Amino acid sequence: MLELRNISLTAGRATDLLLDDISARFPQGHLCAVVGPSGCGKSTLLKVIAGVRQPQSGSVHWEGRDLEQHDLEPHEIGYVPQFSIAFDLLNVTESIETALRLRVGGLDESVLCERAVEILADVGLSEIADRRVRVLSGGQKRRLALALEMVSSPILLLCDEVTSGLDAKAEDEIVQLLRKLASAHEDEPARTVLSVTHSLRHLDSHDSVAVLFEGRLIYHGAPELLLHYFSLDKQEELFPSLARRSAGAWHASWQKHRAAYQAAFVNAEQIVARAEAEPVENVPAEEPWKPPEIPTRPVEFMCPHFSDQFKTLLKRRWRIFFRDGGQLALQLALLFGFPCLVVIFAWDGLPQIQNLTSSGNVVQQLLETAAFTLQSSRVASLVSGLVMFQVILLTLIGSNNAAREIAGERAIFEKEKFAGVRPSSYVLSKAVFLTTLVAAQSIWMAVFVNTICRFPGDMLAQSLILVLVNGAMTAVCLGISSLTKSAEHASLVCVYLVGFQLPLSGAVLALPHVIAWFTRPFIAAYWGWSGYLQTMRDTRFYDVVQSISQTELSPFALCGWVLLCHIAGGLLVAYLGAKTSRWD
Amino acid sequence: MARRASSSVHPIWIIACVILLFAAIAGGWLLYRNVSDPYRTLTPLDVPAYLENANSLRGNVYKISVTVDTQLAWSPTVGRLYSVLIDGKSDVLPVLIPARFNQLNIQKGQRYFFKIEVGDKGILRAQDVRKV
Repeated sequence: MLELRNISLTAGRATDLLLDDISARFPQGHLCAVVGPSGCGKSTLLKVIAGVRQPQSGSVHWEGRDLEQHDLEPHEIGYVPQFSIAFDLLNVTESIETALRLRVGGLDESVLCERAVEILADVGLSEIADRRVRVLSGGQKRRLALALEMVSSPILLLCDEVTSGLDAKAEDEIVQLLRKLASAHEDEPARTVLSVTHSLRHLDSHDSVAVLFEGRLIYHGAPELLLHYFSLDKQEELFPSLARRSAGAWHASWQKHRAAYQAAFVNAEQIVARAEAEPVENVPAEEPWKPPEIPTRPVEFMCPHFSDQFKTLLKRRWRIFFRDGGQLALQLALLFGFPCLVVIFAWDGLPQIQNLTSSGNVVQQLLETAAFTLQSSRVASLVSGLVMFQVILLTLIGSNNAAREIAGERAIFEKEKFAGVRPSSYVLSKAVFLTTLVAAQSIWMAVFVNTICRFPGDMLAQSLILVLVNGAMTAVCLGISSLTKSAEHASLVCVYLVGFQLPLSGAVLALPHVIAWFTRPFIAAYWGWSGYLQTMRDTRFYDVVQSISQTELSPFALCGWVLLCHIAGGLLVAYLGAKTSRWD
Repeated sequence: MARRASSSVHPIWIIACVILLFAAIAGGWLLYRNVSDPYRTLTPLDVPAYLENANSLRGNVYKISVTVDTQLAWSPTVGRLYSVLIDGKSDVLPVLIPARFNQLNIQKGQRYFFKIEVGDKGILRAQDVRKV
C-alpha cells in the first residue's frame, strides 16, 4: 500500500504551492491514472513519491513505513520519466541486458539472456530486439522504457506521461501494457502503478483516477464515478470544467464528498484483501486487470557488485564510442591532426646555438653578446612555443574528451543511479575510458613530435608529463561535467578554462608575482610546460629558455605532483558531482 | 533525512576534501623544498667571510647558486676554472670544476647550484654540480 499523507511542496516562496495537502492511498495491484491540466503538479507529485523531490511537509509511506526513515530499495521502485532513458546507439536487447547487469546481481549469462527474452516478450518488443534505440518510434521507446524498469520487477511503478505524443493505437497498447504490469501474472507480482497522463481516453481501464488542479487533489476515486462527481457528460469536458471553480473550492468540495464517493468506490484495497483470503485458483483468468493475488517475489534481488557494474558501464561506453562515427572521426582527427600542427613549426628540427667565447676586446664581446642574445631569443621562443603548443593542444583535447562525458548523459545517469548504479562505479568507468584516450593522445603527441622534430630530452619523461597534463585537464573537465546540468554549459566552461591556460601560464607574458602565486597552482599548462622543459635540462635549449623567460621554471617532480593533484581533485569533484542528485 | 534519489553530498566529504587539499599543498611544499634546492641541508657560503679570510673556512662544505661568467683556465686532468657570479649579489668568485665533470657543457650565462669545498689556499672546489 502506497500512502501519501498531507504532502505539500512549494517552489521558492512559501506562497508558490506546487502541491497542497495531498493525501491518498494506492493499494498493491492498483493502476491509477493521475490527470489534470498542464502545470497542475502531476509530474511533481510523481517525483515526490519517487523521492526525487523533498516535500516541505507531509510524508510518503509504503506498507506503513515512512520512506523518509526507510526508503524503498532501488529494485523495489521503477520510475519512467518523460525523457528517453536508453542510449540511442544501443539496440533494444543490449539496452535491456545492460539494465539487467546494472540492476540485478547474481545472474549467470544464460539466466540473464532468458530474462531479457521474457521482458522483451512482456512488453512486445521481441520483433525489434536488434533495432537501435534511435530508430524506434515514440511508442516503442515508451515500451523500452517500461521494459528497462521491469528488469528488477519493481513493486511500485511510476510512469510520467508514457502515453503523451503517441497515436491512438500506440496509446492503447501502452495502457494495456500498464494494465498487465499492474496485475499479477505468471511469476510476476501485482504492483502499484501510477500513471501520469494527459489523455482521458482510457480512464476506464484504470482502477482509480486522481485529478489534480493547481496542486490540489480534487478527486480520487473510481473512473466510473468521475463524470457524476464533476457533473459531466463526457470525460473530455473534465479539464474545461475545472475553470468553473477555484482550486480551493474544488478541494473543499472533495473533502466534503470524499467519504461518500470512496464508500461507493469498489476500491482495490478491499479486492486485494479478499483475494488474499481466497485461494488463488478462484481468481477468474479472463479478468487479468483485477488484482487477484500478491505472490511472493519470485527472485531475491540483490544489487550487483561494484566491479560488475563498473565492467558493464565500461563495456557500454566503449561500445557507444565505436558506434558513434562522429565522435570517432573527431578523436582520430585530434589524435593525428594536432601533432602535425606542431611539427609544421620545426620540420627541420631545432636550430643549434653558438656559444659565447668571451674572447677579444670589449667591443667584440659586446657584439658577440648582442648576436648571442638575438639568436638565443629566437631559439628560446621557438622551443618554449613548441612545448607550450603541445601542452595547449593537449589541454584542448582533454577538454574535448571530458566536457560532455557526464553532462551529456546526466538524465540517463540520474535514472540509472535511481535504479541502483553506484556513482563510484560510474565515475571509475569514465576514468578508465578516458585514461585510455589520454594515454593514446599524449604518447602519440610526444613520440610523433620527438621523432619528426628531433626534440632533445628524455622521450619517456616527455610522454609522462604530456599524459599528466592531458589527464589533469580531462579530470578537471570531467569534474565540471558532473557539476553542470547541460552538455552545452559544461563545454562552454571547459573551453573558457582552456582559454585561460595560455595567458595565466606565464609562458608568454610574465604575470605579476602576487597574481602568479594565486593562479599558478591551478594552471595545468604551466606545469606541463615547465615539466616538459625540465626534460631538456641538460641541453642548451633549456638554458636559453630560462634566460629569456621571466617565469620561473619548476622542478619536474613538483610539476608531476601538481598535475597528479589536479587529476585527483578532478576525479573527486566528478565523484561528488555524480553523487549529488541533479534531476531537472 | 533525505531520500535516496534526492541525496546530496554528506558533510564528511567536504571535510575529506579540505583535508586532501591541505595534504596536497603540504606534499607540494615538501617536494618543492627538497627538489628545488638539492643542497637544502648545506649552509650557503658566507662570501664576505670567504673574501676576508678564506683559510678560516678551509675544509668546510657549502652551497652556492651562481651564474657562469668566464672560463679562466682548463686542464684535461685537473679540470676547469671558472669565474662565477653569486646569484643575488655582485660578488665574483673562482670555482674549480674537477675533471670528473668534464662531460658537462658549461657555458657563459648558465645558472648552477654548486656544492663546494673550501680547499687549500682557499680554492673553491666543486664536489657536485646541478643546473638550476
